[in-house]
This record gives sequence, C-alpha cells and structure tokens, in this order.
Amino acid sequence: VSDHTIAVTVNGERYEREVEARKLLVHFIRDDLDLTGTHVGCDTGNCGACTVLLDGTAVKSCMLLAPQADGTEITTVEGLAPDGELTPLQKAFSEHHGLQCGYCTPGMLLSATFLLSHTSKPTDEEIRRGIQGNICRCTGYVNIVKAIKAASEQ
Amino acid sequence: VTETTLAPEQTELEVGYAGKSIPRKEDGRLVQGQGVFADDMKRHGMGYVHFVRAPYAHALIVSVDVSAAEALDGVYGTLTPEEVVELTDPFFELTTPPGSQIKDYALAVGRVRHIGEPVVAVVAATRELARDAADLVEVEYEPLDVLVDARRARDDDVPVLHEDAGTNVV
Repeated sequence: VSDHTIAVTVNGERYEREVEARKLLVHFIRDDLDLTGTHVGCDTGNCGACTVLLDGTAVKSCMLLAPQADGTEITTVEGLAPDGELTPLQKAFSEHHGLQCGYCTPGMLLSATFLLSHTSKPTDEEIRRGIQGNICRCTGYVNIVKAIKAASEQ
Repeated sequence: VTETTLAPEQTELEVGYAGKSIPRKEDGRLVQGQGVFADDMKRHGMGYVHFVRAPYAHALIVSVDVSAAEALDGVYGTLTPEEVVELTDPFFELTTPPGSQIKDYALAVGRVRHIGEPVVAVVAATRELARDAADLVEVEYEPLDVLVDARRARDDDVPVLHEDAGTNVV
C-alpha cells in the first residue's frame, strides 16, 4: 500500500493530505475532510448520492480514487451556499417538496447544478436525463423535476 | 404523503395549519448537507466493520478461522456464525409455516444461500484495516448444487434452500 500526498481545493479551501492509494474520493471527503454531506448510498456507482463537482463536472466520488483528484477543484453540497444564502435550486427543492428523507438530495443538487451550468433552460426530458444517475427511494422524481424546472425559470 | 399542496380555493377555512402548505423544518439543513445520518456520526474509538462474504451461491460452511485477523494490530474483534447463534435469537419470521420454521441470523449460519451473504464481521480501527483483516479470515466451504431458474424452485429434483422449511415454497 503506497501513500500519496495530494492537494485539492474543496469549496474554495485548499487541503493537503496524505492518503492511501486505494482510498476512494468519497471517503477522503467524508472521513478525512469531515464533509459528511456527500453520502455513500451504494459505493458501486449506481445511486449518485456521492455526486460532487470536479473542476465543474458532476462525478460520482465513489468511482474515483482520492489521488486521482490531486490538483482539482471540488464542490460538495456544503459549498453550494457558503454563506448560508440558499441557491435557487436549494430553495426550489424545499418549496416543491423535492426531498423527503434528504439522503439523495446532495447528489441530486450537484447533478442539477451541473445541468443548469450548461443548460440554463432544460426541458423536462433534459432534466430527467440530467439526474438519471441519481436514485431517489422515497420522494419520487416528479417533485425533483418540478424543483429543478422552477429553479431554472428564475 | 404524496399530496403536498392543496388548491388555493380549498383554503377558505383559515384556522391553524388546515389547508396550508407548511415549510418543513428539516429542509434547510438537508439541502446544505448538514443532515446527520447514521453513517455521518463519529465517536471516540469508533470501529469500522467489514464483512467476509460468501463466494458461492450455495455451500456448507465447513470451518471459520479468524485467528490471523484477530492477531492484527488495530483489530477490535470479529463475529463468527457460531458466535451469532450463541449471542442472538433468530430473526422473527413474519409469516406462517413452513416459512416461519426458517431460522436465520445476522450472519450466514451453517450454509450460505447467495453470493455475497455476510459470513464473518470484522471490526477494526479504520475502514482499510477492517478490510485487510477480513482478507485474513479463512472460511472453508463445501459447494452445494445451485438453482438459477426461479421457475423450477417448486420442482422435486432441485436443491432446497432452507431445510427448516423443507420446501422452497414458503
């Protein structure tokens, strides 16, 4: 087992840490940086609960090793509203009942943030495609799609 | 649970909460990643569990040896099928006979019935150490016949998964 020193910028803050080569990025974020808003739902790349933005692109952080993120800029759910002022997406999820238990919500929000970053006025179909890598097991997708749509219209 | 809003014309009666959409108190923290789920909790001296899982779809468990895993520095302990029988009661079966005669536990006891079934639990100081220690657990299996077609499960000449029930129809 080899150790690597990696430097990443997460939510605007730079971290330098020593990690084992086999450590998953999601465990690095959760265990080493204590940012537990990024969830592990399956750790097999199916559920999308661990979605973060890596240099602006949505990735499933359980599908990357921490050393692969060396030198990148990461945004997690904690970084969406750094000063507590919720983004239109965060507000819309609440207003349209796009969350119930909240477990998939961070991943949904990051996938939706990525979607709106390149498609500002998505159709319902584009929204559904945008969150197809994220599984929700309690709220259902209808209100999530409504929330993303509402946020895009602001 | 599914209907979250009411049409405005139905809200004539403005007493208390009736007819109103009430913002949920928990949303603020959940949309900011500040919810605390079981996996988010950390405790002093907390251990991490890793399961040794069945590599066979159907097999008898002949022997389990956790000594090499237990000898590893930082391993808090292991839980074997034998110990699970001693320390816990079988799960309550919410069904009628013959299904209710099935005895099952948190770990596979005596035999494994699907690939990936947990056989031994290993708890250690870190996630990585628990995984390394689990690799040191030796489980000997005696593979049994498997059935891969659910439609044939009722036939006479197929393996029965739960001997306690005596049939695959439960």
